[in-house]
Amino acid sequence: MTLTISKISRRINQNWIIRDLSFQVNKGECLALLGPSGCGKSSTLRLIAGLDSPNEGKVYINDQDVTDIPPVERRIGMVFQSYALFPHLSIFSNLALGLKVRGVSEKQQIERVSSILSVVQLEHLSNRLPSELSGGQRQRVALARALLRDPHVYLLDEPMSNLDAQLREELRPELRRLILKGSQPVLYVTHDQQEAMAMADRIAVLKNGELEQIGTPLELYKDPKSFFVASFIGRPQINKLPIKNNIISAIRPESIYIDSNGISCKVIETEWLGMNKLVFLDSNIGNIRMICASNIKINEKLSISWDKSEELHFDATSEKRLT
Amino acid sequence: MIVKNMRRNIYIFIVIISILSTGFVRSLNLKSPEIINILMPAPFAESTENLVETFNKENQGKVKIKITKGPRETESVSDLAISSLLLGNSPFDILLIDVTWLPKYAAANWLTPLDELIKREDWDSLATGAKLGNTYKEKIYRWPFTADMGLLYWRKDLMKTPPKTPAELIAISKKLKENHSVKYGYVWQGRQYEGLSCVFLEVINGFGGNWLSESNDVQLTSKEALNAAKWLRELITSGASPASVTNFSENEALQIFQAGDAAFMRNWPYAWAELQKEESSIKGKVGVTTMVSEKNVQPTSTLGSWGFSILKQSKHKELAYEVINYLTSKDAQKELYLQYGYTPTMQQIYKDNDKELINSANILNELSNALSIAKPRPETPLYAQISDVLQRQLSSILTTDKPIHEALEIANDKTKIILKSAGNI
Amino acid sequence: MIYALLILPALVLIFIVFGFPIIRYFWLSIHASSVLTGLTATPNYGANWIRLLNDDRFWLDTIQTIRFTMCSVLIEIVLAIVFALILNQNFRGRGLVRSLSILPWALPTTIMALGWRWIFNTPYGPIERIVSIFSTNSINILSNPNIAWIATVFADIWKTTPFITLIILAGLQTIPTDLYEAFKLESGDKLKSFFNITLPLLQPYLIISIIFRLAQAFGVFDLIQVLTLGGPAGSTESIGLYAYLNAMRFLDFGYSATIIFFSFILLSLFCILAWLLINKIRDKYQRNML
Repeated sequence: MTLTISKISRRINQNWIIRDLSFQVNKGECLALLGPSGCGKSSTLRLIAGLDSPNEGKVYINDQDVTDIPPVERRIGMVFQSYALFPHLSIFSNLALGLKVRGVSEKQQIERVSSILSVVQLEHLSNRLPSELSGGQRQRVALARALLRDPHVYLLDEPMSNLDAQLREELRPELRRLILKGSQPVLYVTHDQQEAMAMADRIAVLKNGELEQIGTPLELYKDPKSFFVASFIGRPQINKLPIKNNIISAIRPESIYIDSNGISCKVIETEWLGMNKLVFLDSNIGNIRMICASNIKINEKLSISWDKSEELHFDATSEKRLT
Repeated sequence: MIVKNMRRNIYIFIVIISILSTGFVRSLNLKSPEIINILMPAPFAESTENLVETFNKENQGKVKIKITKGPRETESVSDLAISSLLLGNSPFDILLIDVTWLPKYAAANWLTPLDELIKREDWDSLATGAKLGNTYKEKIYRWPFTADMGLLYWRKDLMKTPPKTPAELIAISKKLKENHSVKYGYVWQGRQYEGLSCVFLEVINGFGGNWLSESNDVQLTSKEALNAAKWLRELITSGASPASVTNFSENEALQIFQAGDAAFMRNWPYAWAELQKEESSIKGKVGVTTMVSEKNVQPTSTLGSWGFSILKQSKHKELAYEVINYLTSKDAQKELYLQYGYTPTMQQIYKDNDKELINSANILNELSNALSIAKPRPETPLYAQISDVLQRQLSSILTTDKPIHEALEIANDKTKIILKSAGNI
Repeated sequence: MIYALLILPALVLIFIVFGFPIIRYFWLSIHASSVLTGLTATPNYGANWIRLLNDDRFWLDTIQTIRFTMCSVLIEIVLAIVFALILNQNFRGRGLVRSLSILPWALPTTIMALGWRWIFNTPYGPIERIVSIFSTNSINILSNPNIAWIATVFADIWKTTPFITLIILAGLQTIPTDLYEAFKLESGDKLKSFFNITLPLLQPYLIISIIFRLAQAFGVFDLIQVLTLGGPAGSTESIGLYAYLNAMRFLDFGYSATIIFFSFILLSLFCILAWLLINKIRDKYQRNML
């Protein structure tokens, strides 16, 4: 089972929402679409689902061209950002509706909905209305609906963005257990790079409707193709050093260490990360972020250094990586 | 600053206005005429405008007539008058009322008896027909303004003389229709409303019967009543009248007759003035007579007159009576007849041989004739009820195949019950 | 408890506006108050009510009023849903069409009824003229007791459908589009989408529309007063017209009040019934969809 999109473009009037986008999601693979809001990641999802059609390009599911076939025939399991649960139906009916309209027998409806409810551990809530459920419970209903579709492809549109941070962490294993372990390709849209790194096998970074870079989380981290990717991937954000000879040099905060022979700096701000601190330094090469032991205090003076080989270099005009 | 200036200007404006208006009010107070407020249906309010203006000029500072223009439709005027009377302090001194409202209004205790105000010789000056419909329980409550009688309009260009009997009317209508002289024979008021009762009164009397007897006995099951109802149905079944006549009021009938599409029309005198207008395609081809009747039976014309009544609560009853006298004076009647075709109520006008009146292509003789055989509808405060009962049954005779005697029996029984409930009223 | 006091002024107002007239009607209904009593109310111990129970004309009017109400409300609701669905689409000039479509509602009933009377006029009205092209017989809609009532229903639908359309359109706009999209992934059937999503989610708007229109149609008066005066043969008379005749034409306020009070009870029953019915359907949908 695979999902392939090939040279897809979509525009509304004169504005390109997506431009010449191609990628493939392999069997059992989870690809995260990552990018700032408005970069075209949700639009890509809608094109694949068939809710919109592309101006150019093709969508293939299992090597079959589905560009012109209606959404229902594409067998998509989709989780909407808002969950899109039917507010007038009980949880049970919400899940059964799709089966019902596709003509599944009543007995089977009951069987399949009950079994999926037990998978997501919501049997006790089957008679409730969506409005009577918590955010996390609703999200699990939405997942259950996608599972029940027995789809060729899973499309998850910011599935956790409406949840608080703790719940997100709790639900991640759930999501892995329920969906990512299957053999279907999963496309996971998010604007949160941490979530993308945690969930996805590969990440596609989008910028202004175009593919910036695609690769494993490690590749993107270690080997970003542009300054945009370098600053989008990895937290705390990469340090941008002064431009010299039309070259941007950048160094990740975690590569910087304290070295009495290094550049002298002054601590202007600290943030607790838990075990250690994110420290903001003022130096003659500008502001620098680094990670330090927790005993650093504001106004302390220290000297820092890093391994030159860890530095990343980019062309200052195109922001593309130099090798 | 602008706001401040504006505010100052407004103050100055208010001061000036109040100075001016106090002066104005004072000048009004100096004269302060008595105001006589009359409610009239809109057409009458419009036609009396000149008379009122003249009066107000002549009596400046003493009396002022104020006309309140009511709705155009007769029954809507009644609704307005009744609503104001029910609220207790009606602003009107005089109402111009339809003949059928009088017993009801008098019984409701809204009207002043006029007996003491009316001079004997004035009463005697009225045409016989005009004297009818003004009394309730032997007291006079209304002074007639204009008489209104049902008339049969006929086409002079299609026949030499109008039909006299019901059978002739049908025969001529059918003949004229068959040789395509007209689309329809006879148009009249067949809608379920007061007009149908007016039509029926003329027909039942024309067949020698009566709606109510002199002693107020219902006579709707008599042979004559049955014949009358049969004839009305036959008008439609024989094709003498179009089936759609059962939805006609005065205007629909006039519309067809005026277009030259019908040979006969039953209508009120106002239609004459309409038929004399330039846009009428049959101007000069129309004759007027009274409704058909069986041989040896005198024809009957339904009386539908309007007259002035003074409200009990009026504070200027004598003055109000003077105003009524003015609006119904000989000169006023002549003017209204000449301009609007209002049927005069004063006998002398018909006798005068006034050149002006006779020369105006008028139908004064026909009106006088109709007025002499005019008959009011039953005079009881419950008239609206019994007319409503009759209308419903007549309408079902005309539009369904309900047995005629059955419908008339129902009307008869219900009318009896209604009149019985009135007891000695 | 103190909060209950805060709604007191509103309750008083509601009582003055609604409660007082109803109580007054009931009081009048057990009195004789007509020209026969010189318009003073004298107790007649239920005589009005006995008269009402034996008044075949009143019961006929009741049936006719219910017939008028049911037909006009039902057809209006269906038409309004169709129109609202059309007006909810994206098309050029939608704003203009939306504002134009409200015009019939903005027209005063009496004027619109006069217009219809002319349209149904024989032989000069447009309907007759069209019919006369195909047939030499005229249809005389308003002269036929079997079909005249249909003309009144027609005129009523023409006038009030735009208003219901507006309510339903507002309802449609509250339904999130992603619900339709989620459904699209399950089924491509537009009809199923309508019955499973649109209709149930419009339910609160439908309840408002139905109850509002039930009450309004049940009290129909001015339309009939102008169009047919209750004729022919009494076939279009409504309870409202009968009550009006008794009060304003016959000056029989006691009996008129009896009619009005009784129709108030009847209408209340109707509305409760409609409400219960709709709720039952909803429950069926929600809990035991299977």
